[in-house]
Amino acid sequence: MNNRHDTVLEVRDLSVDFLTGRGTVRALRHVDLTVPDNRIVGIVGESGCGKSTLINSVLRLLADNAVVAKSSSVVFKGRDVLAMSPADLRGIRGQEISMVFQDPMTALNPVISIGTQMTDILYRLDMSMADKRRLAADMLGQVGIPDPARRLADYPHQFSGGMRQRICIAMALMMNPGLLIADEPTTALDVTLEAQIIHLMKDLCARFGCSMLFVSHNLGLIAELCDEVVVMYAGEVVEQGEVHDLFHRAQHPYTRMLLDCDPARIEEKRRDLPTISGSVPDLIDLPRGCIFAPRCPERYAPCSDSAPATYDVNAVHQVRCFKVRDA
Amino acid sequence: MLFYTIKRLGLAILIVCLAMLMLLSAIHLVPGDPAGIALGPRATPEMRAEFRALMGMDQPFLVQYFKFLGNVVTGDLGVDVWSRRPVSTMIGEQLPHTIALALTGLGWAIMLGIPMGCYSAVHRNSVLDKLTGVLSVGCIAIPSFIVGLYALLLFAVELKIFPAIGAGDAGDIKDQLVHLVLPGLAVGLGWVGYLARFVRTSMLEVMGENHIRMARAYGLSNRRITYTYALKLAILPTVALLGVGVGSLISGAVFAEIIFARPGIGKMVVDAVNTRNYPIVMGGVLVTTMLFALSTLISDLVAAWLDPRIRQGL
Repeated sequence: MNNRHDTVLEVRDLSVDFLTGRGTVRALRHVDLTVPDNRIVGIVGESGCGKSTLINSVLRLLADNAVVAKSSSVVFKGRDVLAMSPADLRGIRGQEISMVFQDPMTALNPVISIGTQMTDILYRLDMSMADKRRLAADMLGQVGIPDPARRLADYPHQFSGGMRQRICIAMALMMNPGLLIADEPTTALDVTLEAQIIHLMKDLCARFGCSMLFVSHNLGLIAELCDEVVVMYAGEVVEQGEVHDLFHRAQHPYTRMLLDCDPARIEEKRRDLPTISGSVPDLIDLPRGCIFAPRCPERYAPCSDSAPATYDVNAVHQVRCFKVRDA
Repeated sequence: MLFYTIKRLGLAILIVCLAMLMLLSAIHLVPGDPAGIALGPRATPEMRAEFRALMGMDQPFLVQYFKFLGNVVTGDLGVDVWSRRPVSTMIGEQLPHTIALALTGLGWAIMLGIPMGCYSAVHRNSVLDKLTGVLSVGCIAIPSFIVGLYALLLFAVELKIFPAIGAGDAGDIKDQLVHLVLPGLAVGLGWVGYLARFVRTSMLEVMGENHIRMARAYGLSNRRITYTYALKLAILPTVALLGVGVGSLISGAVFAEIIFARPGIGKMVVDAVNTRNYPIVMGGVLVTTMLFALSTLISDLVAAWLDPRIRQGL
């Protein structure tokens, strides 16, 4: 990929299965992903494509029935997160990698004050409680909460949704982490708040020198915020590359259809919104060949026989599609 | 919090007043003349009239109700039909035993049930979790008088670890406490199982919530997450359940009081019903109603103390 930047996070050959009563759900298969230093990488894909499984794997927050394949590695600044002891893992969580969750209404504990929840994260710091509270208040101020010192005593229900997401962002950046993972941070918010929150995150990440892994199904947001994009479909990375290149020269039929479905890009007036016909394949019983073949309008002979590897479109753009190989 | 406390206290008083109204109506609505039942078939009309006047039953209903209310406020619950001793004094003698018994039962339930539930939730599907599951259902299913009888036979008669009957020597706190252990277990054992199941369910629910995942993502210790972030929320339904549960502990106490031959309100009321001693029945029921209102009041205040949404919402 891009060699001008050092990498913060490198995910290699990550495969995750979930053991369920119905069978083994193969949620992620051979996913590769790189987050370079000081860059924002977006992950895009429809619901159930494995976005959440991917980011939860990075902090090992998967459910108990998840099995991560032995060959997988998630290397953060030279250390394999998957091989870490629980103590080392705790050292990374919140301090070096932190996370902003999808729904700010449920992400904060309702019976513990904001101040306590914030200072609890600072348990590693050797400073007095008064200093910790000053630091927490300072962070609240930076994310635009008015009168922050007084509001530390308040509880989550006394804040609006947008305010709560600002608090979550403040908590995420408080330990000055190297990587911030944002899991659809604006999905639960009003559209008017969306832009504010996104700009806030972008500003703060630049100021704190923090890389970001940004998950969304909103293509417009990804295009505006990210430097690089990873397109996921049914547990696989189907296309990845620099944002400009990928959006202007999308190669994978799925990416192109996804772009066509974006309501912001539809120009003429029509009765129905465009959709991708068919549905996501059953991840218990995977089709042979390309995972997207059953829904792909451009499929041809090789697609249903074997799974495509990843092929280079150019130095900054890779696609998992036979058409690129054969072009 | 102060405003909430005052509001909640007013509600408790209202509940007791309504309970008194129902209590008095019940006595009026029950077929048959209380005086006739109390004095027996050979009583003369003069004796019955005298009895009614003594009980204040010759007056209109509402007058009786407000007199009853007024008397209760001044601590006057009437006199025992037979011994003519003040009912308030008699209840005063018995009440501490009942409260001590209910609190011991509650103590057993809380000390065993809550840790069992927490353990089961944190170590879900482990061998111990399944074992506590079976034990809990067993505890719930066995009636308290059976537990009482077997505990009596095993620990008092066979092993002679604990005393069998009575409440211990008056004034000797240690002796009284030793006498409380077995009856307390009999009253509380069902609640041990109940609480263990209840706490396990609400803990599992809370542990699956987003903010717990967030706490984990921030590297908080398991101890901090379980006992502060999760338990503080998971305990809320349990607190409400316990407030109501004290009522059933008091009624469960009747069996324990009879089996272990302990003094107590429950036994006194049962005896009074058998002898149609209405002032004692009314006084006893009134006091247990007050205890019930008090325990729900305490549980609501504890819940409000734990949960800012309650104390600021109401």
